[in-house]
Amino acid sequence: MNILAEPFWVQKRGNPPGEYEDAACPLERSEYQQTCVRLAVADGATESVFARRWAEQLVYAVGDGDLSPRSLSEGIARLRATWHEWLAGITLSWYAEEKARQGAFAALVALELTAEEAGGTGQGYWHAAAVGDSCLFHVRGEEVLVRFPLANPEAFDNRPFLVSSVGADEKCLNEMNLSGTWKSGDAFYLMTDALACWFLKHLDAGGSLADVQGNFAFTTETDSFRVWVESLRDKGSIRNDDCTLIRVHTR
Amino acid sequence: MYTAEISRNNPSMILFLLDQSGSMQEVFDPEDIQAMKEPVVVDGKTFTHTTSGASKAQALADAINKLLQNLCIKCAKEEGVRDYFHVGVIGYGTQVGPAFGGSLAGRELVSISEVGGMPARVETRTKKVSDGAGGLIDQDVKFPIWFDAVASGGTPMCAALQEARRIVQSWLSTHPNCFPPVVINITDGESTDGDPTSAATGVRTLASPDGETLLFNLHLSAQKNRAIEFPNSDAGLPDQYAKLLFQMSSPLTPFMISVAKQQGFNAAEGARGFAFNAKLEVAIQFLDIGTRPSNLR
Repeated sequence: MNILAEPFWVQKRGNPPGEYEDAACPLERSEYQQTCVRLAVADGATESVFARRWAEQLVYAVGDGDLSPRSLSEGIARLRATWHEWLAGITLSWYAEEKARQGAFAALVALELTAEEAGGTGQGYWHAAAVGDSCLFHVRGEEVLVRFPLANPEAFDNRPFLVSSVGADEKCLNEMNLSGTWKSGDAFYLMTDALACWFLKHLDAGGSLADVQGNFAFTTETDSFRVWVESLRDKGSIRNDDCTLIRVHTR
Repeated sequence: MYTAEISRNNPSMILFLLDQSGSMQEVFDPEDIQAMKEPVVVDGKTFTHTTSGASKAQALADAINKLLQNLCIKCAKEEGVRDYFHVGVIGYGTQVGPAFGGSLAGRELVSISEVGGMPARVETRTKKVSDGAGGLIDQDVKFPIWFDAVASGGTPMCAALQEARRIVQSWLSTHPNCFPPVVINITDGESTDGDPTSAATGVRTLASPDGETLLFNLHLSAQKNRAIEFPNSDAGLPDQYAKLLFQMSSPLTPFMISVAKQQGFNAAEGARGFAFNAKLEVAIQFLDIGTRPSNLR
């Protein structure tokens, strides 16, 4: 199995890069040869403190295998316990203390790709998990096979159910899971909400995937993703928010 | 309409009007009612009984402290409070004017980060919180106080609304593209300087291109009626003061109605920004500064 993952990100217009609150794993362009690869993007909520840190913890936990895209709920309790221990050791102002008590929140979409058999190439299985409005798209040629977990742009609002750093009941994760098979040449796109919403609008408006793939011709070596997102913002066709994409190529 | 981005580059304003009149001394939720030997007249009103319990002025202080607390927390990030809003508090009673004390005294509009950084004092209270394992434990929490109970003089609501109009107009002249200002009037409803209807209209008709100024009213009454939140008609309201305040209140925007419903309120189409003997903290959640988790309580 040969997987290439290319992450791209740009912060909300008007904010400095340090206030970017999405997270991606991997954070750098990465090629994988192993039989199991896990990737994720997360989107820390504006209305929570330590949102970026929580988003990063979630995607790193997916990458490290501590959170499985087959069942996020199995590892979330341990992650929350670690979070509480860290929080207990820091001193905060009255407002940050109260907000931290309410929890940190992030949307998460996680993907696991496995080869059909050990050492196999060319095809295999995928498993995905999502909480909130970060999305996964499975693309074959010019066809979008899967839109997950949201399938239309009207489904996005500013009040999604997100992964919280507080909460004792794993069933309260509202986790959605989906699986399928992939074959060589397929692509997967993991996107945070503003970009995913734009992508769905584009598809629903009859925009061809070829156009999108043309738009997605940016590389990690240049600022072209930022320039492209800014052009969408200039046209008012994308909501002003942090934008993150992982483009995954299978071979 | 009502979709302008609220950001540090394009902040909005919230103005609170606090009824600090003598009538706010009335006990809000009376206990131990005793007849007096002789009637006593205070501020032109005749009293025949004594009682104990929290006064309306105390309920008002609790309401404004909780509203400011929620607003600061809404805008808080780990590094500080972000200035999505500028906030003013106008008191009306013996006089009409800025009501912040301490280092904020005398200022009409203050950035929300300054409000968060300068409460009059921070008390420690005990609160039941999740232990992270399905149970509840008592935990000391910090509770900021900006306002204590004040009650003296008449209820110059018309003058307070005229002052609000002046402040909103000035804000709009320097922030022409802002999300429309929000004015929240907290009162027992008995205006002593005339019918406030036209003064309220004067506030509501000031607008940015994104919509007219939103005027909400929180009516604190000594009447033992059930709490009423965001009604869409005055039919079930208990007295003429409640009905007047309802008529003065702006309709909630569609987004606000959806948030109110999500928070468990029965806000129907045409619901207004009016509450009777209720908490109004949810009004802070009506303001959209970015992603707010639906599972954040």
